[in-house]
Amino acid sequence: MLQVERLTKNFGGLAAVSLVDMSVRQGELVGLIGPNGAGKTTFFNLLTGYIKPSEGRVRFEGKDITGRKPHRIASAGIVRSFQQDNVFAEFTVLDNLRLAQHLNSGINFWQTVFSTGGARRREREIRQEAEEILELVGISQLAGTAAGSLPHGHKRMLGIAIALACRPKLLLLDEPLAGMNIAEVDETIALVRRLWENGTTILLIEHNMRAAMSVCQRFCVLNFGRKIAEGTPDEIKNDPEVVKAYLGTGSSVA
Amino acid sequence: MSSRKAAGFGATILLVLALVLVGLFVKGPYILHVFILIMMRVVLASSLRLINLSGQLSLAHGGLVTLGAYTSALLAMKLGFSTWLALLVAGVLAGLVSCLIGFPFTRLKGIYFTMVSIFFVQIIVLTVQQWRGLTGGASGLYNIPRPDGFWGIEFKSKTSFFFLMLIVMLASLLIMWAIERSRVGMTFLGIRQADSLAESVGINTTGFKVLAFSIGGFFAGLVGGFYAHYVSALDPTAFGFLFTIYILIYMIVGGAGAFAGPIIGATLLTVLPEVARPLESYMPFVFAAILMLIIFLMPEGLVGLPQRLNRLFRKTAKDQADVAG
Repeated sequence: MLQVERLTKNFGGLAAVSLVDMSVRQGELVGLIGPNGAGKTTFFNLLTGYIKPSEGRVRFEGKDITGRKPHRIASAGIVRSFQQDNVFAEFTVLDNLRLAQHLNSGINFWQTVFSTGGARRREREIRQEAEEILELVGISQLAGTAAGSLPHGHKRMLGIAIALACRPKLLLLDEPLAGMNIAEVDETIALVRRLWENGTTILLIEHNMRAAMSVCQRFCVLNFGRKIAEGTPDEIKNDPEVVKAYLGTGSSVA
Repeated sequence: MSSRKAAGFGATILLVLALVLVGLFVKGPYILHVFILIMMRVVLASSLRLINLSGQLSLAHGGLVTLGAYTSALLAMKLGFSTWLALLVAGVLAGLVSCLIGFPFTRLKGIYFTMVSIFFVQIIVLTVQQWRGLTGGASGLYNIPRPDGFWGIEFKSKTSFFFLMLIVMLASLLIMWAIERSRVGMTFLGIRQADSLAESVGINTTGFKVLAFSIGGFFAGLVGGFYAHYVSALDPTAFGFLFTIYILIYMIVGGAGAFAGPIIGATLLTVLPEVARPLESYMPFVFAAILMLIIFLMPEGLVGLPQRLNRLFRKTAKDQADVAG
């Protein structure tokens, strides 16, 4: 589904991402891990068009999408979540999801401005779909709350819901668990598993190893912008390069 | 919420009725002229706010008004266009020019966008001043034809212009209101709040920013065209830098966060210099002082005044109750 070839980004003399090859197949749940500063978020920014690569190709469903604008990559079916500024703060939770359905709303300028019958009907469907997504993510009770006033964990959940509202073929989650309490971590992990079981292909950046190990089928490990390992959770745990990257020397990854 | 909506609707009807009554019964040309000025500025400040919904603070308005005014005047004078067609072309041209400059301008964000938009005003004003063969240069244009009459209506009296501008204003406000409450308006607001996130859900943020800028530009051009045929004379500096800043002040003092904000701001700040004629030459100072007071004391603008007073009264009432208790 997704093929990345020799993807590279140089910031001045620093190679933030260097010659990374990887692929994600339809229906997989792949973890992208690595120590702080390994280039994981930069890698996401390259995939989604926020940063233009210095070198390399990104192919999605056979099409070359390298260097396309973010909104065009979203319409091709790759949607990401953000670590920061991850919600429309002034909107209610429900309106966040209404806006996020921009791509499949199918309402044009004149229809919405003149509020035609068709547009109103479609808006009702969109609202309903938004409610279903909130249900799925488990934050329906917050539908009328202003997104900016949500606690951190719920904001994160809403961030995922926004990405889901685009009906992604490939969902990129950037550290969805960061800053969550234990209960929220369990909930979110369960959500990610549910999404995957429902057929969404997911690429997940995560620092919480225990949680990531519990859901991902396969891992790709970055360190200093290079891919140092790839494989199943067990292979990764015992890979000497990975152990060295995380701990310096010896013993296994906790 | 719905009672507030009903109140807003009622207030709008009353205001429109009041304006119709003014048009029917007030005969003083000076008063009517002030009303016409207010209505023009209401449209301009509101269209500036429409652009601002998408997170861009534009200061190109003076240039677009000038462009619209000269376009409409010259089309009618040199090419013999019907004034109505000329007026429409003026709006559309200003919108198109906004669209063209919008693509490079919106690549810049925040204050940088605002800065290049100021230069646009200067470019237009200087072009008009220098292109003497077409625009009459610094001495300007005069004897611009009045709007063509129809159905026995002649556009000569202030009253006729008052009603024309009233219709233009109401139609413009209605369109801007419809845009704001539509999905398009929602998209503008989303871009203002988090433009990377908006982009990530597939919104073409550049396209929408340019759209907001172009719609705003259309209304600026339209008002410019109206002015040309109303006053019947133009000079290149009529809508320069200071004029643009005034439009901005109307919006901020009234309150950029609410639809009524620019309407209130433009109204009060047009009336103020008229009632305070002796201070005329100090007006820029007065306006700057008002602007700073508003920014420091009530950044949401004058629209927030009722709510503030309400809170204040409730607080004093509570304090007194506490003292009594």
